[in-house]
Amino acid sequence: MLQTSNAKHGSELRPRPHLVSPITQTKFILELKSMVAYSTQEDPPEIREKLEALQSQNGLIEELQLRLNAARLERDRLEREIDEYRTSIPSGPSYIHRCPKEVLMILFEFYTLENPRVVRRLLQVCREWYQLAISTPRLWNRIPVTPEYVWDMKSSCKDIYRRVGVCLQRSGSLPLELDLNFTNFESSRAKIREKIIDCFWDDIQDIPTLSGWAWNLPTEEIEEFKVIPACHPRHVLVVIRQLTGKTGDVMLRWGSLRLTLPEDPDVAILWKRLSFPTPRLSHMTLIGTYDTTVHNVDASVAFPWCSQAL
Amino acid sequence: MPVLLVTSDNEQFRVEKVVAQRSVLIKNMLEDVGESDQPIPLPNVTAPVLKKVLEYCDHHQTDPLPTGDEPSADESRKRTTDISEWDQKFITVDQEMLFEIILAANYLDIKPLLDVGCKTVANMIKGKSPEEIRKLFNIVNDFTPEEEAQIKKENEWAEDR
Repeated sequence: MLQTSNAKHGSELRPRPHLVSPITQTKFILELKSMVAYSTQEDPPEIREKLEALQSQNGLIEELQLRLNAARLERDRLEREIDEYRTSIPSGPSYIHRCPKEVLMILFEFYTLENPRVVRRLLQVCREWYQLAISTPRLWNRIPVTPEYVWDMKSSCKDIYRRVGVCLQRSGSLPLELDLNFTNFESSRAKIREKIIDCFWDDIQDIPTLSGWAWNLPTEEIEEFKVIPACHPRHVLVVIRQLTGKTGDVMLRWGSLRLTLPEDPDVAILWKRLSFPTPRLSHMTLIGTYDTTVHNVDASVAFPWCSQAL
Repeated sequence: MPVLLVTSDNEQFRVEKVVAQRSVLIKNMLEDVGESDQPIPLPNVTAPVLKKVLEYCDHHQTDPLPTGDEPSADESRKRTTDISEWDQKFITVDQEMLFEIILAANYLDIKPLLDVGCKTVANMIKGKSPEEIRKLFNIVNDFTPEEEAQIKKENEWAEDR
């Protein structure tokens, strides 16, 4: 295919001019200079004049040689870029281009059905797909959020925050379909203790004793955000705040919610962040234990606050 | 009573009304003209494509007809990219025919067939990078390098968190 394309455009068939290697050129210039060096005081004036003229010519040749080198390099670069462009042009017909926008939209919806996050790939295909994808709110109103089981919650949540921001903007006024999975959401306390256990994991064989010791460590003083910010649950709470809106304005758009609760009772406090009206909420699936005793949740917090919408 | 369909390349297909009516376009036309022997012209469909489409309609002639309304959030949620075994065999065609079927299903308004076609294409690009998608469908990358970098940057997020 590469050969066909090149042959078609003739770039490989054109005879390339003879290239003088830089080493040969340098040698040639040095030889010219050495000729001048042989001039002596015993030379008659006319010969000296000629030698000066020769030196001037050598300088000119040297300058032209440098410009020629630069021009050749530039020509090679341009040829390479043109070849790359031509070989990137599809050789066959593009049947998908015949599809009208409404068909492409259906196709995009099926493509993103299982994982809405893959829409980012569609954006990078071509301009037409980019424009269509960013102007189709249905590709953006389904928002899955799954904080990872990682130490660096800051980076992980920053990535989620950026995507959620794009989704909220591009989904227009469509009801939001949220799938919030907080299975891996943990307190700083739990993360710090697990980190400590990890440090000793290879050296200590009595794992139950190690775990028991680690879980009884007084870590309160280092659980603060300012001490170890990377693993702090605050990062997840920022995402939750983004999904509710500062005043509950985003929560007004919630159309459906699938919520998987964290297993860590220390972070069940996230319930309190969801206490805004949800008048458009028509479906809710709750996964995980919701027990006020286990999760230590203030019983006055009702969720969803606007339960009559269900 | 059979219905006479005429393709863009002037081939005639005589099919049972129940089969032809899988197409909402044909169904509406039949309802508009009433009982008639008049052939129905289909200027956007060629004979080989209509033959294939009618094969689908014949197999699915007893399926419940879609309501024609926009799918609700509920129905959307129930949608899957799964394709039945028969439909999978039916839609195993070359890329040109696949898109011809999709275009015909869109024109004739046969939503289940349009869905089968689009699901097939969606499954074809599943897991592929933008570059691989372009290669698969012979799509020209018409972004400038600067635009491509900008789009990549703006939409760079993990696909599993």
